[in-house]
Amino acid sequence: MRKSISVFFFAALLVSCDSKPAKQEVDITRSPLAIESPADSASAEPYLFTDKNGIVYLSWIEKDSLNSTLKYSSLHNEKWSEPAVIASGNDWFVNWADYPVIATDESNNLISHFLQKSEKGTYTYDVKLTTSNDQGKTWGAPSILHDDGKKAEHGFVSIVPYGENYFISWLDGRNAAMEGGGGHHGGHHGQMTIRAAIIDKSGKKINEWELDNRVCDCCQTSAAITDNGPVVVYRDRSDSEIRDISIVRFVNGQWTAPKSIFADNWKIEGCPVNGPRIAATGNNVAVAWFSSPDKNALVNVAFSKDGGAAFSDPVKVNDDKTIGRVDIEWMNEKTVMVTWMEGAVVKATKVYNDGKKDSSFIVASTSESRSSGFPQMTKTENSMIFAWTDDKKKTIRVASLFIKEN
Amino acid sequence: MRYILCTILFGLIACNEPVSDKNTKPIHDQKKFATVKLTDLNGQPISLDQFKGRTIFLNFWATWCKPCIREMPSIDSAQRLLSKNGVVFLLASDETPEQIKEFKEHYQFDLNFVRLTNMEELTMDGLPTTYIYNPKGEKVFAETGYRNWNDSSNIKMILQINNQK
Repeated sequence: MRKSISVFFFAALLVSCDSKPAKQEVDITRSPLAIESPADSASAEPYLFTDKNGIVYLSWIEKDSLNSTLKYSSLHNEKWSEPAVIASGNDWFVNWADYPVIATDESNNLISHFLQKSEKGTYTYDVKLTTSNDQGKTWGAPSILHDDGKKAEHGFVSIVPYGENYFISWLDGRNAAMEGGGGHHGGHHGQMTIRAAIIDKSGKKINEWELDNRVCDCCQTSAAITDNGPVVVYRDRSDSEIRDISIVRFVNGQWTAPKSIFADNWKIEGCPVNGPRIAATGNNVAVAWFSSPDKNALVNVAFSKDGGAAFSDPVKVNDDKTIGRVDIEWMNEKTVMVTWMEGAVVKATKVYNDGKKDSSFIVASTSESRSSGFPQMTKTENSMIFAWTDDKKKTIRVASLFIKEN
Repeated sequence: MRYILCTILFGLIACNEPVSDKNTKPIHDQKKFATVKLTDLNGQPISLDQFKGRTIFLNFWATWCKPCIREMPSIDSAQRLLSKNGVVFLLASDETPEQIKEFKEHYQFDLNFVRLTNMEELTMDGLPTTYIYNPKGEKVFAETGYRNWNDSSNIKMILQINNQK
Protein backbone atom coordinates (compact mmCIF):
# COMPACT_ATOMS: atom_id res chain seq x y z
CA MET A 1 0.00 0.00 0.00
CA ARG A 2 1.41 3.29 -1.04
CA LYS A 3 1.51 5.73 1.80
CA SER A 4 1.14 9.41 1.55
CA ILE A 5 3.25 10.14 4.57
CA SER A 6 2.71 13.84 4.80
CA VAL A 7 -1.07 13.46 4.74
CA PHE A 8 -0.84 10.58 7.16
CA PHE A 9 1.13 12.46 9.77
CA PHE A 10 -0.95 15.57 9.34
CA ALA A 11 -4.02 13.43 9.97
CA ALA A 12 -2.26 11.82 12.91
CA LEU A 13 -1.64 15.18 14.48
CA LEU A 14 -5.26 16.18 14.01
CA VAL A 15 -6.76 13.04 15.49
CA SER A 16 -4.39 12.61 18.37
CA CYS A 17 -6.39 14.31 21.06
CA ASP A 18 -4.03 13.20 23.83
CA SER A 19 -0.81 13.79 22.02
CA LYS A 20 1.43 16.69 22.84
CA PRO A 21 1.86 19.45 20.27
CA ALA A 22 4.63 18.60 17.87
CA LYS A 23 7.89 20.27 18.73
CA GLN A 24 10.06 21.80 16.12
CA GLU A 25 13.13 19.95 15.00
CA VAL A 26 11.79 16.61 16.14
CA ASP A 27 13.54 13.70 14.50
CA ILE A 28 10.51 12.01 12.98
CA THR A 29 12.40 8.77 12.57
CA ARG A 30 12.72 8.51 16.36
CA SER A 31 9.48 10.16 17.46
CA PRO A 32 6.36 8.08 16.92
CA LEU A 33 3.18 10.07 16.53
CA ALA A 34 -0.02 9.02 18.22
CA ILE A 35 -2.71 8.20 15.69
CA GLU A 36 -6.36 7.50 16.14
CA SER A 37 -7.11 4.07 17.56
CA PRO A 38 -10.09 2.16 16.18
CA ALA A 39 -10.45 0.55 19.62
CA ASP A 40 -11.73 3.52 21.53
CA SER A 41 -13.69 1.77 24.29
CA ALA A 42 -12.44 -0.49 27.10
CA SER A 43 -10.17 -2.79 25.20
CA ALA A 44 -6.98 -4.78 25.54
CA GLU A 45 -4.84 -7.48 23.97
CA PRO A 46 -3.91 -5.73 20.71
CA TYR A 47 -2.25 -7.59 17.87
CA LEU A 48 -0.90 -6.11 14.63
CA PHE A 49 -0.40 -7.78 11.28
CA THR A 50 0.58 -6.43 7.86
CA ASP A 51 -0.44 -8.40 4.80
CA LYS A 52 1.51 -8.77 1.56
CA ASN A 53 -0.30 -5.75 0.11
CA GLY A 54 0.88 -3.60 3.01
CA ILE A 55 -2.51 -3.34 4.68
CA VAL A 56 -2.29 -3.21 8.46
CA TYR A 57 -4.74 -5.16 10.61
CA LEU A 58 -5.31 -4.52 14.31
CA SER A 59 -7.25 -7.01 16.43
CA TRP A 60 -8.24 -6.63 20.07
CA ILE A 61 -10.66 -7.80 22.73
CA GLU A 62 -13.40 -5.67 24.19
CA LYS A 63 -14.79 -6.90 27.48
CA ASP A 64 -17.91 -6.01 29.40
CA SER A 65 -19.32 -7.63 32.50
CA LEU A 66 -20.76 -10.53 30.51
CA ASN A 67 -19.02 -10.93 27.20
CA SER A 68 -15.68 -10.80 25.49
CA THR A 69 -15.69 -9.63 21.89
CA LEU A 70 -12.85 -10.04 19.42
CA LYS A 71 -12.78 -7.19 16.92
CA TYR A 72 -10.52 -5.99 14.15
CA SER A 73 -9.97 -3.00 11.95
CA SER A 74 -7.73 -2.42 8.95
CA LEU A 75 -5.86 0.66 7.89
CA HIS A 76 -6.95 1.87 4.44
CA ASN A 77 -5.63 5.09 3.00
CA GLU A 78 -4.40 6.17 6.42
CA LYS A 79 -7.80 5.59 7.99
CA TRP A 80 -8.98 2.72 10.15
CA SER A 81 -12.02 0.83 8.89
CA GLU A 82 -15.09 0.58 11.07
CA PRO A 83 -14.33 -2.05 13.75
CA ALA A 84 -15.84 -5.41 12.85
CA VAL A 85 -16.72 -8.29 15.15
CA ILE A 86 -14.87 -11.55 14.57
CA ALA A 87 -16.44 -13.50 17.44
CA SER A 88 -17.96 -13.03 20.87
CA GLY A 89 -18.60 -15.21 23.91
CA ASN A 90 -19.21 -15.35 27.63
CA ASP A 91 -16.94 -18.33 28.29
CA TRP A 92 -13.64 -17.11 26.94
CA PHE A 93 -10.30 -17.42 28.65
CA VAL A 94 -8.95 -13.89 28.54
CA ASN A 95 -5.37 -13.35 29.63
CA TRP A 96 -3.25 -10.31 28.85
CA ALA A 97 -0.29 -12.52 27.93
CA ASP A 98 -2.21 -14.88 25.64
CA TYR A 99 -3.76 -12.59 23.07
CA PRO A 100 -5.70 -13.49 19.92
CA VAL A 101 -3.98 -12.97 16.60
CA ILE A 102 -5.19 -12.21 13.10
CA ALA A 103 -3.60 -12.98 9.73
CA THR A 104 -4.59 -12.75 6.10
CA ASP A 105 -3.29 -13.64 2.69
CA GLU A 106 -3.12 -11.15 -0.14
CA SER A 107 -6.66 -11.89 -1.31
CA ASN A 108 -9.93 -12.01 0.62
CA ASN A 109 -9.10 -14.57 3.28
CA LEU A 110 -8.58 -13.91 6.97
CA ILE A 111 -8.01 -16.11 9.98
CA SER A 112 -8.12 -15.37 13.68
CA HIS A 113 -8.37 -17.21 16.98
CA PHE A 114 -9.56 -16.87 20.54
CA LEU A 115 -9.46 -19.03 23.66
CA GLN A 116 -12.61 -20.66 24.93
CA LYS A 117 -12.89 -22.47 28.24
CA SER A 118 -13.36 -26.23 27.90
CA GLU A 119 -15.87 -26.06 30.72
CA LYS A 120 -17.26 -23.07 32.50
CA GLY A 121 -15.57 -22.40 35.80
CA THR A 122 -12.42 -24.33 34.96
CA TYR A 123 -8.94 -23.28 33.98
CA THR A 124 -8.68 -25.37 30.85
CA TYR A 125 -9.33 -23.91 27.45
CA ASP A 126 -9.24 -24.59 23.72
CA VAL A 127 -7.90 -22.67 20.77
CA LYS A 128 -10.82 -21.75 18.55
CA LEU A 129 -10.03 -20.82 14.95
CA THR A 130 -12.32 -18.85 12.73
CA THR A 131 -11.86 -17.88 9.10
CA SER A 132 -13.36 -15.44 6.66
CA ASN A 133 -13.31 -15.69 2.89
CA ASP A 134 -14.95 -12.35 2.16
CA GLN A 135 -12.49 -9.80 3.56
CA GLY A 136 -13.82 -10.19 7.07
CA LYS A 137 -17.45 -9.39 6.33
CA THR A 138 -18.56 -12.77 7.67
CA TRP A 139 -16.70 -15.30 9.77
CA GLY A 140 -17.21 -19.05 9.80
CA ALA A 141 -18.24 -21.14 12.80
CA PRO A 142 -15.20 -21.44 15.09
CA SER A 143 -13.49 -24.82 15.21
CA ILE A 144 -11.02 -26.26 17.70
CA LEU A 145 -7.46 -26.18 16.39
CA HIS A 146 -6.27 -29.26 18.28
CA ASP A 147 -7.96 -32.64 18.25
CA ASP A 148 -6.71 -34.16 21.52
CA GLY A 149 -10.11 -33.81 23.14
CA LYS A 150 -8.42 -33.14 26.49
CA LYS A 151 -9.53 -30.60 29.03
CA ALA A 152 -6.17 -28.89 29.13
CA GLU A 153 -4.48 -25.58 28.46
CA HIS A 154 -4.01 -24.69 24.80
CA GLY A 155 -2.89 -21.26 23.75
CA PHE A 156 -0.04 -18.86 22.92
CA VAL A 157 -0.85 -19.13 19.23
CA SER A 158 1.13 -17.74 16.31
CA ILE A 159 -0.32 -17.61 12.81
CA VAL A 160 1.52 -16.67 9.61
CA PRO A 161 0.51 -17.04 5.97
CA TYR A 162 2.30 -19.99 4.35
CA GLY A 163 1.86 -20.28 0.59
CA GLU A 164 -1.81 -20.80 -0.04
CA ASN A 165 -2.38 -21.75 3.59
CA TYR A 166 -1.56 -20.67 7.14
CA PHE A 167 1.15 -21.98 9.43
CA ILE A 168 0.21 -22.11 13.11
CA SER A 169 2.19 -22.88 16.27
CA TRP A 170 0.78 -23.16 19.78
CA LEU A 171 1.37 -24.49 23.26
CA ASP A 172 -0.59 -27.66 23.91
CA GLY A 173 -1.12 -29.04 27.41
CA ARG A 174 -2.58 -32.38 26.36
CA ASN A 175 0.20 -34.25 28.16
CA ALA A 176 -0.06 -32.01 31.23
CA ALA A 177 -3.73 -32.76 31.87
CA MET A 178 -4.84 -35.63 34.07
CA GLU A 179 -7.71 -37.65 32.73
CA GLY A 180 -10.81 -35.79 33.79
CA GLY A 181 -8.49 -33.02 34.96
CA GLY A 182 -9.09 -29.35 35.25
CA GLY A 183 -10.43 -29.53 38.76
CA HIS A 184 -9.07 -28.45 42.08
CA HIS A 185 -5.31 -28.34 42.34
CA GLY A 186 -4.76 -28.77 38.75
CA GLY A 187 -4.17 -32.14 37.32
CA HIS A 188 -0.98 -30.85 35.74
CA HIS A 189 1.27 -33.87 35.93
CA GLY A 190 2.86 -33.96 32.48
CA GLN A 191 4.70 -31.48 30.36
CA MET A 192 3.58 -28.62 28.20
CA THR A 193 4.28 -29.29 24.51
CA ILE A 194 4.58 -27.09 21.46
CA ARG A 195 2.81 -28.14 18.29
CA ALA A 196 2.42 -26.78 14.78
CA ALA A 197 -0.07 -27.25 11.98
CA ILE A 198 -0.85 -26.12 8.48
CA ILE A 199 -4.40 -24.92 8.04
CA ASP A 200 -6.10 -24.11 4.77
CA LYS A 201 -8.17 -21.02 4.06
CA SER A 202 -11.34 -22.67 5.32
CA GLY A 203 -9.74 -23.64 8.62
CA LYS A 204 -9.23 -27.29 7.70
CA LYS A 205 -6.09 -28.88 9.08
CA ILE A 206 -3.71 -30.25 6.45
CA ASN A 207 -0.84 -31.40 8.63
CA GLU A 208 0.20 -31.32 12.31
CA TRP A 209 3.35 -32.02 14.33
CA GLU A 210 4.63 -32.01 17.88
CA LEU A 211 7.75 -29.82 17.86
CA ASP A 212 8.99 -30.26 21.44
CA ASN A 213 7.58 -32.31 24.28
CA ARG A 214 8.74 -30.15 27.20
CA VAL A 215 8.53 -26.37 26.98
CA CYS A 216 7.80 -23.43 29.24
CA ASP A 217 4.12 -23.36 30.18
CA CYS A 218 3.35 -19.69 29.94
CA CYS A 219 5.31 -17.99 27.17
CA GLN A 220 4.24 -17.04 23.68
CA THR A 221 5.35 -18.96 20.61
CA SER A 222 6.50 -17.10 17.51
CA ALA A 223 6.66 -18.33 13.92
CA ALA A 224 8.00 -17.03 10.62
CA ILE A 225 8.45 -18.32 7.10
CA THR A 226 11.97 -18.31 5.67
CA ASP A 227 13.05 -19.23 2.16
CA ASN A 228 13.83 -22.67 3.57
CA GLY A 229 10.44 -23.09 5.26
CA PRO A 230 8.66 -22.39 8.56
CA VAL A 231 10.64 -21.73 11.74
CA VAL A 232 9.32 -21.52 15.29
CA VAL A 233 10.94 -20.03 18.39
CA TYR A 234 9.75 -20.62 21.94
CA ARG A 235 10.94 -20.71 25.51
CA ASP A 236 12.32 -24.14 26.18
CA ARG A 237 12.41 -25.91 29.55
CA SER A 238 15.20 -28.24 30.58
CA ASP A 239 14.99 -30.84 33.33
CA SER A 240 16.89 -28.42 35.56
CA GLU A 241 14.46 -25.55 34.79
CA ILE A 242 16.73 -23.66 32.42
CA ARG A 243 14.32 -21.70 30.26
CA ASP A 244 16.28 -20.39 27.27
CA ILE A 245 14.98 -19.78 23.76
CA SER A 246 15.01 -22.60 21.22
CA ILE A 247 14.31 -22.77 17.50
CA VAL A 248 12.98 -25.57 15.33
CA ARG A 249 13.04 -25.44 11.52
CA PHE A 250 11.05 -27.30 8.87
CA VAL A 251 13.69 -28.38 6.38
CA ASN A 252 13.13 -30.84 3.53
CA GLY A 253 9.88 -32.04 5.00
CA GLN A 254 11.29 -32.69 8.47
CA TRP A 255 11.48 -30.71 11.68
CA THR A 256 14.95 -30.16 13.05
CA ALA A 257 15.69 -30.95 16.69
CA PRO A 258 15.28 -28.01 19.08
CA LYS A 259 18.39 -25.85 19.15
CA SER A 260 19.16 -23.05 21.57
CA ILE A 261 19.43 -19.56 20.08
CA PHE A 262 21.84 -18.61 22.86
CA ALA A 263 22.71 -20.18 26.21
CA ASP A 264 21.52 -17.53 28.64
CA ASN A 265 21.21 -20.28 31.26
CA TRP A 266 18.27 -18.59 32.90
CA LYS A 267 17.00 -20.86 35.63
CA ILE A 268 13.49 -20.09 36.84
CA GLU A 269 10.94 -22.37 38.44
CA GLY A 270 8.09 -20.09 37.55
CA CYS A 271 6.25 -18.36 34.72
CA PRO A 272 8.40 -15.80 32.88
CA VAL A 273 5.32 -14.89 30.80
CA ASN A 274 7.75 -13.64 28.16
CA GLY A 275 8.00 -15.42 24.85
CA PRO A 276 10.44 -14.60 22.05
CA ARG A 277 9.51 -12.96 18.75
CA ILE A 278 10.95 -13.87 15.38
CA ALA A 279 10.94 -12.05 12.05
CA ALA A 280 12.23 -13.27 8.71
CA THR A 281 12.94 -11.78 5.33
CA GLY A 282 14.22 -14.40 2.92
CA ASN A 283 16.69 -16.39 4.97
CA ASN A 284 17.60 -13.42 7.15
CA VAL A 285 16.14 -14.17 10.54
CA ALA A 286 16.10 -12.04 13.67
CA VAL A 287 14.96 -13.12 17.12
CA ALA A 288 14.33 -10.91 20.16
CA TRP A 289 13.86 -12.32 23.63
CA PHE A 290 13.85 -11.57 27.33
CA SER A 291 16.05 -13.36 29.81
CA SER A 292 17.19 -12.79 33.35
CA PRO A 293 20.21 -14.93 34.15
CA ASP A 294 21.60 -14.18 37.60
CA LYS A 295 18.70 -11.74 38.04
CA ASN A 296 20.18 -9.55 35.33
CA ALA A 297 17.12 -8.80 33.22
CA LEU A 298 17.89 -8.14 29.57
CA VAL A 299 16.46 -8.10 26.08
CA ASN A 300 18.64 -9.66 23.41
CA VAL A 301 18.52 -9.69 19.63
CA ALA A 302 20.34 -12.26 17.50
CA PHE A 303 20.59 -12.63 13.74
CA SER A 304 20.81 -15.54 11.34
CA LYS A 305 21.66 -15.39 7.65
CA ASP A 306 20.86 -19.01 6.94
CA GLY A 307 17.23 -19.35 7.84
CA GLY A 308 17.82 -19.88 11.55
CA ALA A 309 20.43 -22.66 11.36
CA ALA A 310 23.07 -20.53 13.12
CA PHE A 311 22.80 -17.27 15.05
CA SER A 312 25.16 -14.43 15.80
CA ASP A 313 26.10 -13.51 19.34
CA PRO A 314 23.23 -11.57 20.87
CA VAL A 315 23.05 -7.79 21.05
CA LYS A 316 21.66 -6.47 24.33
CA VAL A 317 19.23 -3.63 23.66
CA ASN A 318 17.68 -2.59 26.97
CA ASP A 319 19.04 0.43 28.83
CA ASP A 320 17.70 -0.27 32.32
CA LYS A 321 15.71 -2.87 34.20
CA THR A 322 13.44 -4.47 31.62
CA ILE A 323 10.39 -6.68 31.82
CA GLY A 324 10.82 -7.86 28.23
CA ARG A 325 7.56 -8.25 26.27
CA VAL A 326 9.41 -7.89 23.01
CA ASP A 327 8.49 -7.49 19.38
CA ILE A 328 10.71 -7.35 16.32
CA GLU A 329 10.31 -6.47 12.64
CA TRP A 330 12.69 -6.17 9.73
CA MET A 331 12.94 -2.63 8.36
CA ASN A 332 15.21 -3.65 5.48
CA GLU A 333 17.57 -6.55 4.79
CA LYS A 334 20.11 -5.33 7.34
CA THR A 335 18.08 -3.62 10.03
CA VAL A 336 15.42 -4.61 12.51
CA MET A 337 13.36 -2.54 14.89
CA VAL A 338 12.82 -4.08 18.30
CA THR A 339 10.44 -3.00 21.06
CA TRP A 340 10.50 -3.90 24.73
CA MET A 341 9.30 -2.58 28.06
CA GLU A 342 11.22 -0.98 30.90
CA GLY A 343 8.77 -0.81 33.75
CA ALA A 344 5.52 0.25 32.09
CA VAL A 345 7.27 2.26 29.37
CA VAL A 346 7.55 0.98 25.81
CA LYS A 347 10.93 1.52 24.19
CA ALA A 348 12.28 0.83 20.72
CA THR A 349 15.50 0.92 18.77
CA LYS A 350 17.10 -0.15 15.52
CA VAL A 351 19.54 -3.04 15.57
CA TYR A 352 21.75 -3.86 12.60
CA ASN A 353 22.77 -7.33 11.56
CA ASP A 354 26.43 -6.41 11.99
CA GLY A 355 25.78 -6.14 15.73
CA LYS A 356 25.50 -2.37 15.94
CA LYS A 357 22.49 -0.60 17.37
CA ASP A 358 21.07 2.89 17.69
CA SER A 359 20.24 4.51 20.98
CA SER A 360 16.73 3.72 22.15
CA PHE A 361 13.69 5.98 22.07
CA ILE A 362 10.39 5.93 23.89
CA VAL A 363 7.30 4.99 21.91
CA ALA A 364 5.08 8.08 22.30
CA SER A 365 5.62 10.31 25.28
CA THR A 366 6.40 8.67 28.59
CA SER A 367 2.92 9.10 30.02
CA GLU A 368 1.26 7.91 26.82
CA SER A 369 3.51 4.93 26.32
CA ARG A 370 2.82 3.38 29.70
CA SER A 371 1.58 -0.05 28.82
CA SER A 372 0.05 -3.08 30.36
CA GLY A 373 0.08 -6.33 28.43
CA PHE A 374 2.21 -6.92 25.37
CA PRO A 375 2.96 -4.01 23.02
CA GLN A 376 2.79 -4.90 19.33
CA MET A 377 4.55 -3.61 16.23
CA THR A 378 4.24 -4.05 12.49
CA LYS A 379 5.79 -2.48 9.40
CA THR A 380 4.18 -0.78 6.44
CA GLU A 381 6.03 0.49 3.43
CA ASN A 382 7.18 3.70 5.08
CA SER A 383 6.30 3.42 8.74
CA MET A 384 6.30 1.27 11.81
CA ILE A 385 2.96 0.98 13.58
CA PHE A 386 2.86 0.39 17.34
CA ALA A 387 -0.11 -0.65 19.49
CA TRP A 388 -0.33 -1.11 23.22
CA THR A 389 -2.85 -1.18 26.04
CA ASP A 390 -2.94 2.11 27.91
CA ASP A 391 -1.98 1.34 31.48
CA LYS A 392 -4.42 3.84 32.98
CA LYS A 393 -7.30 4.14 30.55
CA LYS A 394 -7.42 0.43 29.68
CA THR A 395 -7.82 1.12 26.03
CA ILE A 396 -5.59 0.62 23.04
CA ARG A 397 -3.27 3.30 21.79
CA VAL A 398 -1.67 3.35 18.38
CA ALA A 399 1.32 5.29 17.11
CA SER A 400 3.16 5.53 13.83
CA LEU A 401 6.84 6.13 13.16
CA PHE A 402 8.14 7.34 9.83
CA ILE A 403 11.07 5.22 8.72
CA LYS A 404 13.67 6.55 6.39
CA GLU A 405 15.13 3.97 4.07
CA ASN A 406 18.90 4.34 3.91
CA MET B 1 16.24 2.79 35.53
CA ARG B 2 15.59 3.33 39.16
CA TYR B 3 15.24 -0.35 39.91
CA ILE B 4 18.59 -1.45 38.61
CA LEU B 5 20.19 -1.37 42.01
CA CYS B 6 17.31 -3.43 43.24
CA THR B 7 18.10 -6.04 40.61
CA ILE B 8 21.70 -6.16 41.72
CA LEU B 9 20.70 -6.47 45.33
CA PHE B 10 18.18 -9.15 44.46
CA GLY B 11 21.09 -11.01 42.98
CA LEU B 12 22.69 -11.05 46.39
CA ILE B 13 19.76 -12.96 47.78
CA ALA B 14 20.42 -16.63 47.23
CA CYS B 15 17.22 -18.06 45.79
CA ASN B 16 17.40 -21.60 46.93
CA GLU B 17 20.26 -21.59 49.33
CA PRO B 18 19.94 -22.15 53.06
CA VAL B 19 18.43 -19.17 54.75
CA SER B 20 20.64 -16.97 56.85
CA ASP B 21 20.48 -13.50 58.32
CA LYS B 22 22.36 -12.03 55.39
CA ASN B 23 19.47 -12.95 53.16
CA THR B 24 16.97 -10.89 55.04
CA LYS B 25 18.63 -7.50 55.20
CA PRO B 26 16.79 -4.50 53.80
CA ILE B 27 16.73 -3.97 50.07
CA HIS B 28 17.45 -0.29 50.49
CA ASP B 29 16.69 1.11 47.09
CA GLN B 30 13.05 0.09 47.25
CA LYS B 31 11.05 2.79 48.91
CA LYS B 32 8.98 1.43 51.70
CA PHE B 33 5.69 0.23 50.24
CA ALA B 34 5.70 3.06 47.70
CA THR B 35 5.92 0.98 44.57
CA VAL B 36 3.23 -1.59 45.27
CA LYS B 37 -0.32 -0.46 44.50
CA LEU B 38 -3.04 -2.75 45.80
CA THR B 39 -6.80 -2.73 46.09
CA ASP B 40 -9.23 -5.15 47.62
CA LEU B 41 -11.61 -7.04 45.36
CA ASN B 42 -14.12 -4.20 45.62
CA GLY B 43 -11.63 -1.69 44.31
CA GLN B 44 -10.79 -0.05 47.63
CA PRO B 45 -7.11 0.91 47.92
CA ILE B 46 -4.99 -1.06 50.36
CA SER B 47 -2.03 0.73 51.83
CA LEU B 48 0.70 -1.50 53.18
CA ASP B 49 1.35 1.24 55.74
CA GLN B 50 -1.66 0.00 57.65
CA PHE B 51 0.31 -3.15 58.48
CA LYS B 52 3.37 -1.33 59.78
CA GLY B 53 4.79 -3.11 62.77
CA ARG B 54 3.93 -6.47 61.25
CA THR B 55 5.73 -8.69 58.78
CA ILE B 56 4.05 -8.69 55.37
CA PHE B 57 4.26 -11.69 53.06
CA LEU B 58 3.21 -10.37 49.65
CA ASN B 59 2.89 -12.97 46.92
CA PHE B 60 2.24 -12.05 43.27
CA TRP B 61 0.39 -14.64 41.24
CA ALA B 62 -2.07 -15.19 38.38
CA THR B 63 -5.01 -17.51 37.90
CA TRP B 64 -3.28 -19.13 34.92
CA CYS B 65 0.15 -19.50 36.55
CA LYS B 66 0.66 -23.15 37.44
CA PRO B 67 3.68 -22.74 39.74
CA CYS B 68 1.74 -20.00 41.54
CA ILE B 69 -1.15 -22.35 42.19
CA ARG B 70 1.23 -25.15 43.09
CA GLU B 71 2.76 -23.11 45.92
CA MET B 72 -0.55 -21.81 47.27
CA PRO B 73 -1.27 -24.80 49.54
CA SER B 74 2.12 -24.22 51.17
CA ILE B 75 1.33 -20.51 51.61
CA ASP B 76 -1.98 -21.50 53.13
CA SER B 77 -0.15 -23.77 55.59
CA ALA B 78 2.48 -21.15 56.37
CA GLN B 79 -0.26 -18.63 57.05
CA ARG B 80 -1.91 -20.95 59.54
CA LEU B 81 1.43 -21.48 61.25
CA LEU B 82 2.45 -17.84 61.34
CA SER B 83 -0.75 -15.86 61.76
CA LYS B 84 -0.37 -16.13 65.54
CA ASN B 85 2.95 -14.33 65.10
CA GLY B 86 1.19 -11.42 63.42
CA VAL B 87 2.47 -12.10 59.92
CA VAL B 88 0.18 -10.66 57.24
CA PHE B 89 -0.31 -12.70 54.09
CA LEU B 90 -1.51 -10.98 50.89
CA LEU B 91 -1.79 -12.62 47.46
CA ALA B 92 -1.91 -10.08 44.65
CA SER B 93 -2.96 -10.65 41.04
CA ASP B 94 -3.34 -8.00 38.34
CA GLU B 95 -6.33 -9.74 36.84
CA THR B 96 -9.88 -8.45 37.15
CA PRO B 97 -11.69 -8.71 40.49
CA GLU B 98 -14.15 -11.06 38.79
CA GLN B 99 -11.37 -13.40 37.70
CA ILE B 100 -9.85 -13.37 41.17
CA LYS B 101 -13.21 -13.98 42.85
CA GLU B 102 -13.94 -16.85 40.48
CA PHE B 103 -10.54 -18.37 41.28
CA LYS B 104 -11.10 -17.91 45.01
CA GLU B 105 -14.44 -19.66 44.80
CA HIS B 106 -13.05 -22.46 42.67
CA TYR B 107 -9.97 -23.28 44.71
CA GLN B 108 -11.26 -22.50 48.19
CA PHE B 109 -7.90 -21.43 49.61
CA ASP B 110 -8.26 -19.56 52.88
CA LEU B 111 -6.05 -16.74 51.65
CA ASN B 112 -6.38 -12.99 51.40
CA PHE B 113 -6.56 -12.32 47.67
CA VAL B 114 -6.08 -8.74 46.55
CA ARG B 115 -5.60 -6.90 43.28
CA LEU B 116 -2.35 -5.41 42.01
CA THR B 117 -2.76 -2.33 39.82
CA ASN B 118 0.83 -1.58 38.80
CA MET B 119 2.43 -4.87 37.91
CA GLU B 120 4.64 -3.52 35.13
CA GLU B 121 6.17 -0.90 37.43
CA LEU B 122 7.43 -3.60 39.78
CA THR B 123 9.64 -5.08 37.03
CA MET B 124 9.30 -8.66 38.13
CA ASP B 125 11.01 -11.39 36.14
CA GLY B 126 7.96 -13.61 36.26
CA LEU B 127 5.40 -15.29 38.49
CA PRO B 128 5.14 -16.25 41.26
CA THR B 129 7.15 -13.50 42.89
CA THR B 130 7.23 -12.99 46.65
CA TYR B 131 8.21 -9.91 48.62
CA ILE B 132 8.59 -9.98 52.38
CA TYR B 133 8.62 -6.77 54.43
CA ASN B 134 9.91 -6.77 57.99
CA PRO B 135 7.95 -5.06 60.80
CA LYS B 136 9.94 -1.87 60.13
CA GLY B 137 8.42 -1.75 56.65
CA GLU B 138 11.66 -2.66 54.90
CA LYS B 139 11.54 -5.04 51.98
CA VAL B 140 14.02 -7.72 52.96
CA PHE B 141 13.14 -10.52 50.56
CA ALA B 142 12.26 -10.60 46.87
CA GLU B 143 12.31 -13.69 44.72
CA THR B 144 10.69 -15.03 41.57
CA GLY B 145 9.86 -18.72 41.33
CA TYR B 146 8.18 -21.52 43.20
CA ARG B 147 8.97 -22.28 46.83
CA ASN B 148 7.46 -24.68 49.29
CA TRP B 149 6.63 -22.03 51.86
CA ASN B 150 5.64 -24.61 54.42
CA ASP B 151 9.18 -25.95 54.50
CA SER B 152 10.84 -25.50 57.88
CA SER B 153 13.69 -23.41 56.45
CA ASN B 154 11.22 -20.96 54.92
CA ILE B 155 9.14 -20.77 58.10
CA LYS B 156 12.36 -20.10 60.00
CA MET B 157 13.30 -17.33 57.57
CA ILE B 158 9.93 -15.61 57.96
CA LEU B 159 10.20 -15.85 61.74
CA GLN B 160 13.68 -14.30 61.57
CA ILE B 161 12.27 -11.45 59.51
CA ASN B 162 9.44 -11.12 61.99
CA ASN B 163 12.02 -10.53 64.73
CA GLN B 164 13.53 -7.54 62.87
CA LYS B 165 11.67 -4.97 64.96
